[in-house]
Amino acid sequence: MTQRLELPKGGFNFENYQRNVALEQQGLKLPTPTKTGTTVVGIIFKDGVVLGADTRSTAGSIVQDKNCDKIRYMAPNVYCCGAGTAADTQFTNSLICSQLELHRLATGRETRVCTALTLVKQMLFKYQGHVSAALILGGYDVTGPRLLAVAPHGSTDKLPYLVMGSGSYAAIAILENRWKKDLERQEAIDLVQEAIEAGIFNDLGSGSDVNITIIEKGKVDNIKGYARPNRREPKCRSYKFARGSTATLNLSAVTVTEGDAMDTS
Amino acid sequence: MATQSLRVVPSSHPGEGSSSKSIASTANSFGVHDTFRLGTRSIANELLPSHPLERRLDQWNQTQINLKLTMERRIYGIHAPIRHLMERNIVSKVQRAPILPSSNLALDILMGKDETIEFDDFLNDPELSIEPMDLHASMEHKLGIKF
Amino acid sequence: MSFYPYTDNGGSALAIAGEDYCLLASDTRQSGEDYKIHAGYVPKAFKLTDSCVYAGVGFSADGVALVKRVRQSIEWYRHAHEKTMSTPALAQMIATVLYSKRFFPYYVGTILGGLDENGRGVVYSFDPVGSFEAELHKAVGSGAELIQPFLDNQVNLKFLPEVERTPLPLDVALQIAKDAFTSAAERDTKTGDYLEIFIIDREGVNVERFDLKRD
Repeated sequence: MTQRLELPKGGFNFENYQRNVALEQQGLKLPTPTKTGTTVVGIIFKDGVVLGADTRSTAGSIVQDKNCDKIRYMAPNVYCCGAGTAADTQFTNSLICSQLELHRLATGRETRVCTALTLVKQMLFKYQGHVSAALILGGYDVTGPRLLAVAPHGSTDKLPYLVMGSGSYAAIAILENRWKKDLERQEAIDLVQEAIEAGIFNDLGSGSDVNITIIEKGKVDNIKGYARPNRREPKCRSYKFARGSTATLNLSAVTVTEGDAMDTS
Repeated sequence: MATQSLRVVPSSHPGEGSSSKSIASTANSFGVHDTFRLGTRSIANELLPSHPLERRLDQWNQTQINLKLTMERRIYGIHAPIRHLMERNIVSKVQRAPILPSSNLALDILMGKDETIEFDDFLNDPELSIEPMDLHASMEHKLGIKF
Repeated sequence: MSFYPYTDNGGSALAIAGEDYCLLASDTRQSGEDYKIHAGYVPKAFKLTDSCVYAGVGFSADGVALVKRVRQSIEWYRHAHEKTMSTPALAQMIATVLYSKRFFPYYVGTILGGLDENGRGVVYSFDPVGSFEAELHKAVGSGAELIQPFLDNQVNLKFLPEVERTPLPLDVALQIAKDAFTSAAERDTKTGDYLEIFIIDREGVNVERFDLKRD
């Protein structure tokens, strides 16, 4: 029916689903959403949590963004690393961040990481894995340093070290080898850097720089580009075109002598 | 829907939950669908399986509410859910035409939606929709007047 | 889960023909499905004769099988005719070999770079079933869509009618090839690790190796 008899509902719109299915059966290739490929890592050390991520996002086998930020703010003491479909991780992060802000206003207390976890996992389970977001949540709350992970279908893990993304196999190898309890701050940072670099060099979906966030009691350090092992070397030639290289078919110039001045009041 | 059901999430069986469409819902006084006013209609398309999430999301909120009311009934007795539904009823009486948006703060507070934010609140906001909506057709549909 | 006889091992190659030289460059990364890397140094370009180099990009196993077949044919030709196959003759022969598997193709994008009988540089590019054409420059592989427009602009000076056309000297062509690959490695995940550039001129075939980004 082309005319509505009632106000439309908000939320996701499924109107084109049947049409898309029919088109796919006739051979149309649907566009692929940007995925983050990705290696994201989180570990607990003596006084807090270190989160690390690479900075590459891909569309198929082409690099979409060479420097995207995958470690996102969730609460003043909770940060979230996202792997999976980029739009899904961004919107999930924004939604839960807003919900946590409302929650803080209602309760008047500092957010706990497990609150964020429960909100994310209940939302992802509701969407049955169609919202393809694999997140690592790390933070420092009243119970101490906390590291949790959520998979796209809604299952969760609470562990002292976690990895997500296509580069997780490479990263977990480093962590299984060298993680131990009560690491010092710099040891933890070095371990996370190594794990992310393992993902960067051995997984095609991860690349460029290493971003690190350290969350301790009462303070958060965001270090973008902690390691930059993939700087582009300078090009051999300059590809500047000389003036007049492009052919002009037609040139018309208009001299503006009068007119209304821009209103800058 | 079974009474006193403790379902936490909607059933994934396609059979449950009524899924029937009839011509009568949009028939005019001649007994057929009013193509001129409402455009073409395909009942087959309306009944065909849609996105697996669509049914689940449609029933999600209602399932959660039912769970809460069922628990109240079991713990406090039949009066508890009845009072809640009565309050909700009183507050939901909208006097506007069906297609005009109206915010209902009292209803939001009773449903607990004043302290949360959901995808429904900012995606496809009904107040920002650009679909053409005919006030008269919607009033006639609501009042059951057929021309 | 059914058996599928092909897989895409990724990678890119390009060739540029000059007045008295030919240049063929290829990366050496072999990737697998689902973002895996099989190896960092698996050459895709091979010297066939003193005046011809071949590169086969796509399904690695077919690329290797094809070059084996071609090398055998070159040997037979040498024994039968007591001379080395010329580049145009090689091109025709490769086209025939490719077409012989028309109904179960060699899943490779092939390019041949060399000097023709007059000592001029020439590039032949083939599709997987043997259609071929002589060109001035060509890119194949997963990074082809990124490299080809760049070559069109810089080597052929397409869309720049005001610029004077002079023959491209070898050192400039080398710089263009290197920059093409460093740029492709930035945006194509399947191109990277090492770069091999074969330079074919009157003196024979020389190889230069460079590093590419390994992420």
